[in-house]
Amino acid sequence: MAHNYERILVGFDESEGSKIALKRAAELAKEHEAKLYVARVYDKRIFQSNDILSGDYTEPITQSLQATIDDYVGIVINDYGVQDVEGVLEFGSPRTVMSRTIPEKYNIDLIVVGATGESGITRALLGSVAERVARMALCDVLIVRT
Amino acid sequence: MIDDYKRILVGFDGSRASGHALEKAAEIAKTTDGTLFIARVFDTRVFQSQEIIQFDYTEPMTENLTRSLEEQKIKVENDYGVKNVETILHYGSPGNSMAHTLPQEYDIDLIVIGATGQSAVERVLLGSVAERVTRHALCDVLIVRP
Repeated sequence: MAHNYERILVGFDESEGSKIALKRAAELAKEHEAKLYVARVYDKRIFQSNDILSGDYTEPITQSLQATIDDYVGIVINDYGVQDVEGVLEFGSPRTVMSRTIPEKYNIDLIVVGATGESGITRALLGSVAERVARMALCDVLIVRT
Repeated sequence: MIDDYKRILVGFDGSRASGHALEKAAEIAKTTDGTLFIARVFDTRVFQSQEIIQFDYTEPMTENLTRSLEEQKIKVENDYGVKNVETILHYGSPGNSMAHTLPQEYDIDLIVIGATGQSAVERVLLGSVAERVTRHALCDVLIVRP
């Protein structure tokens, strides 16, 4: 394992589940001296109804998301001692972007996801994004629950 | 990570995918100095048709499976230097056994499983056992792809 993972991707959406995943991914990256990609995928589909489209929300939302990513990249570097960390902000369907788009773009060899995420009901054992990533990814996937 | 995964369960069914999973699990166990549980779950449902149960296949089969497990144990000990390796031969539904029964019985904190297993068609990205484990396990799950 120590020599296996060089480019680790973790999905982050500020949910409790993803915070646990971020911690685990950071520990792994530290241990393997891997590069860690902290990805925030924003679901653009919520902008597709007409009543929202009249205003342009993209810029303030992008700024706010980028600021959050930067915060957490800082936390990963300072609190966990991971040296090589990159924040990634992508718009699109989280399941597709996390399982295929980002892994292909950054040549990822391990994806770390929280079992339940943003829209996760507590009793759901596996969220829709985690399930899709587990199924669709072409590399190893670590589902984090604890 | 180093401290967290002390009791690691890996499913082994003789398939190539489960061989990869075993290698990864061994590397993790070596890194964490944890105990590796190699589990072979034999699906007893194949014995349920009448023309089969008139013969007793159980004993020779148990011998073969036990021998296969012992071979894997020795391989892991020699090739990876894992000190604590236990083998488990279990009869039951592979999905439920790997997701619930064995993790509870052995107090597992990480399940390592091949994305596709014995009965998988190559184009299937996530086999039925891996899917069941991913969905229902209560601990972390690492899905391994070759």
